[in-house]
Amino acid sequence: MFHHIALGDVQIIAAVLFCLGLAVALTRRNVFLLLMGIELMLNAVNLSFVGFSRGLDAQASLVGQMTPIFIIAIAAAEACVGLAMVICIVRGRESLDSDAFADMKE
Amino acid sequence: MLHVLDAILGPAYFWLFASISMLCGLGLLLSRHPINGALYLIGVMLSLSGIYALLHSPFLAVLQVLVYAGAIMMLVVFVIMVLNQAKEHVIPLFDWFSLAGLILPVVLGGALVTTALQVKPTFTLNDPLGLIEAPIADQSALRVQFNAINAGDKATYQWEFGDRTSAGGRQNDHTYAAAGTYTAKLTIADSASKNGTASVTFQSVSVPRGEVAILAATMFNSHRNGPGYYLLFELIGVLLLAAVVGAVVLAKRNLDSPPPLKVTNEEGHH
Amino acid sequence: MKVTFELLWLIPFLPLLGAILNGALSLGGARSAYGPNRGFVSFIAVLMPGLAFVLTVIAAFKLSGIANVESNPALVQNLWDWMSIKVGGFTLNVQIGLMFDRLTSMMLLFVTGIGTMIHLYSVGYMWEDRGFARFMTYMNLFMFSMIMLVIGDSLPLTFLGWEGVGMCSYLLVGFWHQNNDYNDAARKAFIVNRIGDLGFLLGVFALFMVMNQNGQGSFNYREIASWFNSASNAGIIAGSAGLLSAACILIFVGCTGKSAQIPLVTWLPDAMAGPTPVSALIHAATMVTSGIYLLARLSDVFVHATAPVCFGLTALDIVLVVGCITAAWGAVAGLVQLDIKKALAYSTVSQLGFMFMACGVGAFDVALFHVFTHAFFKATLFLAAGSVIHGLHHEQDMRRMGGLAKLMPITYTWMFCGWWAIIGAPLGSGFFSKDLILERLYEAHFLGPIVGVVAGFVALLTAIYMTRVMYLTFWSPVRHSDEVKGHVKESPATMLIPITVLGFGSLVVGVLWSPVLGIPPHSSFFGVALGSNAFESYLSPVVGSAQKFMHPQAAAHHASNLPLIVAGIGTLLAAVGWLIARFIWSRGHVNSTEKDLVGFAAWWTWGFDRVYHAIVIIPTKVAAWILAWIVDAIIGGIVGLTADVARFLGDGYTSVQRPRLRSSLTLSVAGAVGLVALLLLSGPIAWVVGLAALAVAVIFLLLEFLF
Repeated sequence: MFHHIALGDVQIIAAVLFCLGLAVALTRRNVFLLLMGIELMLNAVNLSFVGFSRGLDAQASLVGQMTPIFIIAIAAAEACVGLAMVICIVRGRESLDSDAFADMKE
Repeated sequence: MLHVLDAILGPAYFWLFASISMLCGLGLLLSRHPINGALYLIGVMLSLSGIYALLHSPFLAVLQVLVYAGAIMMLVVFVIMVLNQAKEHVIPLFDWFSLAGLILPVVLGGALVTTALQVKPTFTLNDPLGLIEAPIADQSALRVQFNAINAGDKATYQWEFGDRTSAGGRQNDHTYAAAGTYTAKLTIADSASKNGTASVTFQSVSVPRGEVAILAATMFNSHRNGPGYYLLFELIGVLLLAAVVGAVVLAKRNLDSPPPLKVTNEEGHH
Repeated sequence: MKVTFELLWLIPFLPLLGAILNGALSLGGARSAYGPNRGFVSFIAVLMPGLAFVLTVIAAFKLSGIANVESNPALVQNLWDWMSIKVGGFTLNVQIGLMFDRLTSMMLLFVTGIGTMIHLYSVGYMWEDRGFARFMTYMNLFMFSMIMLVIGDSLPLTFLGWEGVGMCSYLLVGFWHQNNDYNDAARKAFIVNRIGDLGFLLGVFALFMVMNQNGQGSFNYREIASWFNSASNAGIIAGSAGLLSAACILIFVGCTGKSAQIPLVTWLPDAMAGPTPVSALIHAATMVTSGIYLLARLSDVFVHATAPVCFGLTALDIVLVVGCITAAWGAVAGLVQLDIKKALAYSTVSQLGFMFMACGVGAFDVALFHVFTHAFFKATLFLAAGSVIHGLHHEQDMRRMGGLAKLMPITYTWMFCGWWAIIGAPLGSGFFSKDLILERLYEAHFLGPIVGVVAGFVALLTAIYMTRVMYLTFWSPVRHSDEVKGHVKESPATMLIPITVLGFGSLVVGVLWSPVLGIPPHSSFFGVALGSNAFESYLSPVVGSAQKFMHPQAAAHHASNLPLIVAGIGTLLAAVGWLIARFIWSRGHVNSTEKDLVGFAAWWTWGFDRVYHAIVIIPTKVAAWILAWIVDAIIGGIVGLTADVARFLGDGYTSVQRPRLRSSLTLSVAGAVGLVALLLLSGPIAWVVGLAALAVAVIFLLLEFLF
């Protein structure tokens, strides 16, 4: 059966959330917020996938939802590694400000 | 009855969750302390979980709550609390870099929303007798469900879909092979109440972004490629394992060695 | 006629299971000082081959219940498809299938039977060793491989077992890997076997090419045999005689590697570095006979390869000549050995030469009969030698032995039986099998009698060097070293029981093909004809067609006086050899010049290692040097150039790179957004987005310079 939620609206919400996440990642200096912005972007992409997969027939829709699961797993891995790196960096520099890491060029 | 409720409440709940998620996203952008940001992000994730449930993806909804809101964000919150330092409040919320950085998301968001609005199919009805109910379509309008009104038991319905195919029946779910402008025509005859014709014109498009989803869907299509799921889960397992091992190694190395001296930067800033 | 037997898979699987269990135990107990529980390990290690033996016996009885003798009765089991290739008219299907016909049953009965005995012996011999569980794991794995070699129904499966026994031989020869000489010996065994295996593979492919000319190429033994015996394929066989001969020669190269024939002979004496049960099981009784097994298996192929290869000799003639030279070489080398195990090892080489001689004149059943008797008496000799070594606290030098007949009476008794059998003294098992070989040699075509004279001479030498071993070890005065003098004791029961069983067997198994029982030839016992030629009639469904092809009128040979003459000559040679050895070595004195006859540089090795060095090692080194140069100069150059380019670009890029994390992030995202605008979007939106991305990039670069 067809759904009553317009799938174009889902894509709009996903786009808005993605851009919010991008804004957080680009503008905030706190590394935690940076990471969380990336998480928000991943979530928005998930939503987009789910929205598109609803437009497909049943079988393709079911397997199309595997991609968000895949992304969730990668996000979990990324969070583990990212937070571990944050801990490492912060212990050495006593700061959560990403501008304080400006010597990474060397 | 439930069907009707679903039809009314579904969009309502959807917009409720959508508003919550967008507001929480905004809150994340403007939060002063990362712990506030984390709570806002959890709000986003929980409302996204609701949207998944509304989109008939219950498993993903549960997984979203369990893994994202439960595990990942709990980890983030713990680390924030472990590393919590009072002076973090002195980091200014916005500076020139931030304001300039806002340009990209705003422009990109505007472009994306505009595109999404553009591809929302519009149906132009030429229906003086009121024979057709509003068609329902997916975002590309390549697959449309046409509904005629109930014109009585003896009525016959004849649909011509505009791509040289036709069918009878009151309700028809038709898939178009290619994008284009189509005019679907309905003829109702032998009806007690209403006889006559009506047509609906619309434009279907092929959305490139939709193909990404199809690609992802067929990549894991178990019917065609054998048990692809297993490979997927293997990959996920390996990635998780690598992440955990990496985290442990990093943490141990950091515990074992004294923190490095802060390197002063000579030429980075001007 | 094929009958499916559902339990066949258990015969190879049980030893594999034992290897897996013992391997797990060995790994699990690796941390502890003494290793895993030895009782449990030895229980598994002996039980699994023992059960395989019981199953083999059951299968053999079931096999003998199949009435139709003429069409090679066999028990089969198809496990699963291995490979199925269908490319452009070329079809290849290989199944993992097991076949238990009479040849397999004969091989398996002694492989599993003697194998079980040797496992039992190993329990006593290796009990004190730190790596007991590891040793038992390898032994069980070897049993699995050897069983797969003989029970597989196709050449690829045999090759699987073929490689498996080679690997186990490597692992077991180098078992005491603390000693680097032993590691070298293991590597030598492995590498020499690889050369042979290459020949095996190429030969198999060539054989497939021959058969595939009418689209019936197959690796299955039954299909190969029926293809070559089919009259409709005679034209193809005649048309591709050269290729067929090449296939046979290449397969024979594989056999020379595994069965230690010239030129791939030198690994076997070195392989005596392994523990003695290994020498008994692998390097005397089972693995080295797999070459004979393969020749017998492919006997139909070999007899049809009638094209002369060189000097007018056919493939089988080459087998005959190589076997003859190897037999002579092993016997000569055996005369001068000081190490008791090496003497037995050269004796093995020599006896294998006898078997190949028999194959060379098309007497495959006689060769297999010698394989059978040799497995018994050589295993006896090796196990008894191991018992001597064990009793003398790991003394292997025969110059420091002597007088053991009284000190180790049980070992002596059964070693005597083994000696009695190998020299061909009357009524021992070697008496029958060796005399049969000599008889067939004299009956064969022009080359046979010449070779037969050499073989008779080799039989004399065999008697001499084996009697020498007996004198130096048991019959001469005591010459023990000071450390062991007075501490020499008989070995434990777990070692003596297998020696007893096998020693008894080495006395009596010869009656399976002997005229002494007086039983009428056509009486039968479970379908197996008893009497004078039980062994021959038992194997005739497998190798009979090949032998009939080779000797169409051979049925008459039992009628002549030749067997009696040969038996007389054989007895005479044994007696003369005994007397010569008694004359020279009865006092246990060894000519001291033999000290410098150690290793493969000595005269009696005929310079094999030097030849190897010239034709294998030096070309390999040259090729390796050239390859190293290519890798260094060309590939290394390309890699270095790539790295240089990347470094150059990276250095250039760092001058553009901005230090702030946010700047880098924004610039990269701006690039991505620009790409999106360029590739995915169209119309005015694309312009807006693209220009915005460009603007952001410019603004950020400006900001970086401002702040």
